[in-house]
Amino acid sequence: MNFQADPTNATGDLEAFARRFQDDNPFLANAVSDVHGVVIDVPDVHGKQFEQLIGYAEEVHRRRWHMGQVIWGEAGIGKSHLLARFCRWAEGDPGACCIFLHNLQPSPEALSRYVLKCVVNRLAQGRQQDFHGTQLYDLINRTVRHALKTYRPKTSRPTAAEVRECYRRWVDDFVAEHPNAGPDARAVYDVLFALFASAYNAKYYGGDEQVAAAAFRWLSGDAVERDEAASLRMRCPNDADAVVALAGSDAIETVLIVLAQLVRLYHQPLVLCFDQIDNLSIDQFRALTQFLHPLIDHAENLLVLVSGVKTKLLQMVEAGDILGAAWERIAQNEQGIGLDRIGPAQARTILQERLRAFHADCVRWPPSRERLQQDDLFPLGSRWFNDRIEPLPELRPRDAINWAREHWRERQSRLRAVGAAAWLAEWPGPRPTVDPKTPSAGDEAETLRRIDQQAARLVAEQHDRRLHEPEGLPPDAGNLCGLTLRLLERCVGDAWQYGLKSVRIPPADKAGRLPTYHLIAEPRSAAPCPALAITFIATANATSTTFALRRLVNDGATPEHGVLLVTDERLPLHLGTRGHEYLDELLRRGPQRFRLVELTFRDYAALDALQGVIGLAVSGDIEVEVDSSSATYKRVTADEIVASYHRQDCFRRNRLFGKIFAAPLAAGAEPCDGDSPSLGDFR
Amino acid sequence: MTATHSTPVPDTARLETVFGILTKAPEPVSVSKMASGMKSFGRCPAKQCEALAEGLVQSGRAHRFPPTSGKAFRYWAHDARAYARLLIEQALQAKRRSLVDVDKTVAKRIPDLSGSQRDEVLSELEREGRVHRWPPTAKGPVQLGRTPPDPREYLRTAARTFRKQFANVRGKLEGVGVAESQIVAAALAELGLTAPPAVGANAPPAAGTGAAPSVAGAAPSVAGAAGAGFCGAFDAAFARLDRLRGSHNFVSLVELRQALSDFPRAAFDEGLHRLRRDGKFGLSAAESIHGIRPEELQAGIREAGALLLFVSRKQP
Repeated sequence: MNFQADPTNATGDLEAFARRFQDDNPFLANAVSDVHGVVIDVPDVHGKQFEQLIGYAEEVHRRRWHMGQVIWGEAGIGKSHLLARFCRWAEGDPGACCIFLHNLQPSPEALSRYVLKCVVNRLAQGRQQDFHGTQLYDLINRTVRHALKTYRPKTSRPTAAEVRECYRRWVDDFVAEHPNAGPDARAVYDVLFALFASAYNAKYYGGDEQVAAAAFRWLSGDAVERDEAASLRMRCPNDADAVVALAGSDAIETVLIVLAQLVRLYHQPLVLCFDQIDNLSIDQFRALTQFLHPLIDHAENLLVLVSGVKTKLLQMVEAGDILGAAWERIAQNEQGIGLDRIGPAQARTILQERLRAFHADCVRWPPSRERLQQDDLFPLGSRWFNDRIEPLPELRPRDAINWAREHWRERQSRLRAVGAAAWLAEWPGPRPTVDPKTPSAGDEAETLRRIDQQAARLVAEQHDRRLHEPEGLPPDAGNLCGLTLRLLERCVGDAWQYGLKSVRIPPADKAGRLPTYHLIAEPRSAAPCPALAITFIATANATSTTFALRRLVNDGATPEHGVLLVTDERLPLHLGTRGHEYLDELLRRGPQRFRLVELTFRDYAALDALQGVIGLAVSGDIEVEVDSSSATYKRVTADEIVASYHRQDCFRRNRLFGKIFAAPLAAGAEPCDGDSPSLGDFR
Repeated sequence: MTATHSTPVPDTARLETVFGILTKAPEPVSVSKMASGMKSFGRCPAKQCEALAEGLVQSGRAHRFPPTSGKAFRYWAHDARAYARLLIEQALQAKRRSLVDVDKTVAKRIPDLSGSQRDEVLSELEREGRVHRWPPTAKGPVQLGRTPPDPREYLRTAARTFRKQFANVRGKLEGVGVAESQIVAAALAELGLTAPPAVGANAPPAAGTGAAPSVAGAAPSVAGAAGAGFCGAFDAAFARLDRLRGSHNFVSLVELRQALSDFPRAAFDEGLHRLRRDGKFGLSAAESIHGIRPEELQAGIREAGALLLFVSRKQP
């Protein structure tokens, strides 16, 4: 075949083909880290497991049942891909109300509250106000309509009093029929109604949404002020300074049970998906299973899915790190939903799917169209497939994608060397041989460079995803604290120019008082930098904020500490008169002793992205090529990712960590650089 | 339902401790046992423990069971069905027992559990392979045991009679010059059985028979191992080991190689490769929290840069 026979027509086509081929590599993405991370999907791969998941979701809804299931397999097998496929199915009709949770960072004690906050925030689509039209609003709206239909068959427009009465009767019936929902169920329903009524009035009658906002915060597990509690028709404590919040895991469980019930009236099951739970610490894992155990037992219409690397999860279970009974609730079938390696035929289908868009363009140009007609794996080629993949009894989907990516690169490199016409003429061309110029496993510097490149790409990708879905990362002091702690722990040591001697959580107060500081970070050298005490505040509650500031002002035990107060821009410091006084007093101490950092969501997402990529490494989801000639991959460990962060100065470039490491609290340091507002800023 | 942040709630802590005790307890516990587990709170009278446990029962987090002796109720975080499972397994711990006996034991301890519910629990245990039903013998009733029925126990009486008569017949026939092998072959034919392998032959067990994984006595050649014999032995060994490890469909090659040690490594690997090709079993990589042990390194199979260590049965 001679592709230069008709140069006038062929040249433009060849150039177009060559440009298209050089500009693309459909095999770059080899891991899914969130619901919307799947672009290309092959239904046959793990199709049975997908059907199983749908079956479970439909069963819990149909039977008003509860169930826990574990999805497990080795890294790179497609667990997150399956969950993402399931979440996409859930978006259809009838679908399911699917909440995807991952990268949970709070302390074990705060984990259940944070899970609730994530669920409520997802349902409210990340809004702190303007709730009309959110999924949460729609769920309550549907319940109210259901109550009206049940208890008021008239078709005329109901009065507000009638709506309230019908809803009350419906709640009475629900509470009577569901003693397992817990003693707080009625209060939860009342607060949901308050949110609905307030949002409805704001939408149609121009009222404010203060009551809805308070209800939302209470339902999210946050504290509300005494007067806010009164507006929600809750019993208020006598103490004027007291705040009101869901008390304990039972109340948190009740909110989730009630939400599952609301979702049932929406003709869907509620599905909580916890991805990569093998990334949790043992204590977090134990706390999560202990929380999920009674929740699964008591809820109706609830499916809990957890996924992780099978070996690691089984080791934790067999070591007795978690209660057998709790694990049995989560993994109700001992075999779980196991994901196996795939055969070469399925691997071929995956490659074909990834090539589909490229092939759609190839048919436009005669030279490439002919090659495509010869071989449906063009430009990879069936010969390469038969050499590389066909002899294997089974492989991971990620293996097929990784090898195809490298072969694509090799083909690109060949095209650059010989030109498009010759490349197409010789295709499939000579079998790849070892190129002495190609970096190999022995080239450590090259491997490190590739790890750096991969880490930077993944962090940027994770950061972007968080910015697109802020509701997945609600403002929460506990989560932010856990996240900061985990990342600061990676900076303890003297291997870098900067670093800490230690970072720790101060011991809990024996009397049960709330802590003044959440973290203490000790710099490597005692002088001239004092230890840094860090406090996180993310609440819209002025009383809680005032108390937190008062604790900082009154703390006489650790005057040698510099204090860093970290807040979230989405919940800026909400100050009353006394709060202002305390903050003024702290600011008067000067930047050597007190600084305030208000994190933007971008800052927070950047921190979470750093930890998210470490999590991917812990789950075995990051691999880099170490030998091009044999397309050999190395799994990148969490420590290697952290080392890469240090090499790329990722920590100090982060705004919060920049403040921690820049030692601005040392005597004689420059005054604050704009993070600490002037005294007037909070008035 | 609501609480001020500043007010400690000691009753909640006690309640959760009681719940923890009831969750961790291997079986329902009495109030006095609960009280002894509450020492961290100082003295906690039995009455108070009882009230807390009753509170948990009211909220559906715990369950009350009748006393085994005396008048004190016992409490547990798990429900009556879980208790019935425990009782059945305990009853069969030491020996087989008749179905009626076991059912009576459960009914006596958990009177609220109906007959059909007890049957459901038993069926569940049978499905999971934790309890096995032994058919009635000529004299005895249906029995339950922790192991599958052993055919030898059912054939013992018949075999004893047969052996006596066979010895008598053999003596007579040998006396008139009939060869022993002929007599044995005729006996097997009359019994409707095929002849066993010749003494000293190393034939592997038949494929797909689900034969017990007792590979002792079977020392197959490399060529034979990749065949049907290996498949059957592997299947059975996998089933047994997986059951021992909690039926997670996950068995280490270390254990499988030990169980099938009569198959040389090359034969084992070749046989396993075929099973993987046929889509019957799959391998997955070693991804331990604690690192890889030397014996795992030794037993694993290196493939495409990964160390494959765990075997799973694939879904049909």
